[in-house]
Amino acid sequence: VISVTPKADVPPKPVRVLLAEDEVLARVMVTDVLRGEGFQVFEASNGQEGISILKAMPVDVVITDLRMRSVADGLELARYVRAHCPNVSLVLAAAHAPPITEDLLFDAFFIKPYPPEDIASWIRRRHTSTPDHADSGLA
Amino acid sequence: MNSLPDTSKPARVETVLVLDDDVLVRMPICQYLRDCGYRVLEAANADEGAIILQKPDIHIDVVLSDIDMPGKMNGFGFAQWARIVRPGLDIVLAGTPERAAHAAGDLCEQGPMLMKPYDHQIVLDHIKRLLAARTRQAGS
Repeated sequence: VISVTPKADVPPKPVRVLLAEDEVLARVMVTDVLRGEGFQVFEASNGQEGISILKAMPVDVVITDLRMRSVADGLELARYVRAHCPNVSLVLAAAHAPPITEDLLFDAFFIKPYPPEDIASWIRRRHTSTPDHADSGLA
Repeated sequence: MNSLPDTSKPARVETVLVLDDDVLVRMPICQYLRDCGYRVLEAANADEGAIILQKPDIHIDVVLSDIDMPGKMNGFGFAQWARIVRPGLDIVLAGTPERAAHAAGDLCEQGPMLMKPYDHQIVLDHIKRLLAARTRQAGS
């Protein structure tokens, strides 16, 4: 007789996502979907707020717009992520592609208007597969 | 005869709109309210709050707003404008992080889901830690 001991039913830790987006209605739409998918989502209305959040707590994924009205835009936030948060997945969600010199900063790129469900699927694939998925190796 | 409350209908998730230009205050307040069972929308200033309130399909039950915000409207101005646009809207103004934390705690105490006991001190301590960390980083 083979007895199988079931694994302890520990709920998985939610994936922590930072969304930096200066269009508030886009932020509401995307965060609603991501929270509905079970992610813990932090909101930044510009790149500077995003950097403040990253200094205060760890996250697994950063989604950022490119052009934002503030001292720090999406590129500055992306550079901060690559310099200080090497294991964080970095997603660009913008109306335009990044400058060719900067596109290697990002692990994925979604063009506006994108279905938020697509980003949720990407995060789920990226953060529920192999253990070494988190580091893009692009830092 | 005792009458029991009708628990057959699921409670509607109430929505709170939080306005605060300081992300390190706004974030823990919003997280605390979400943990209490609210749907929470975040606005970094009065302009963002106005964009949300101008969308009639976005239901808002309560506004919790900082008073001192940069831009065309501070919290008082926003509250006056919001009462014209949405008469009957509950608006709570908070002038300091301490008052915002108290207000969030009050909302959690009155809230529909009561997933956490009333303890505004938790969120207040969190805000203070975040702000202190930022001050240290700015000074280093």
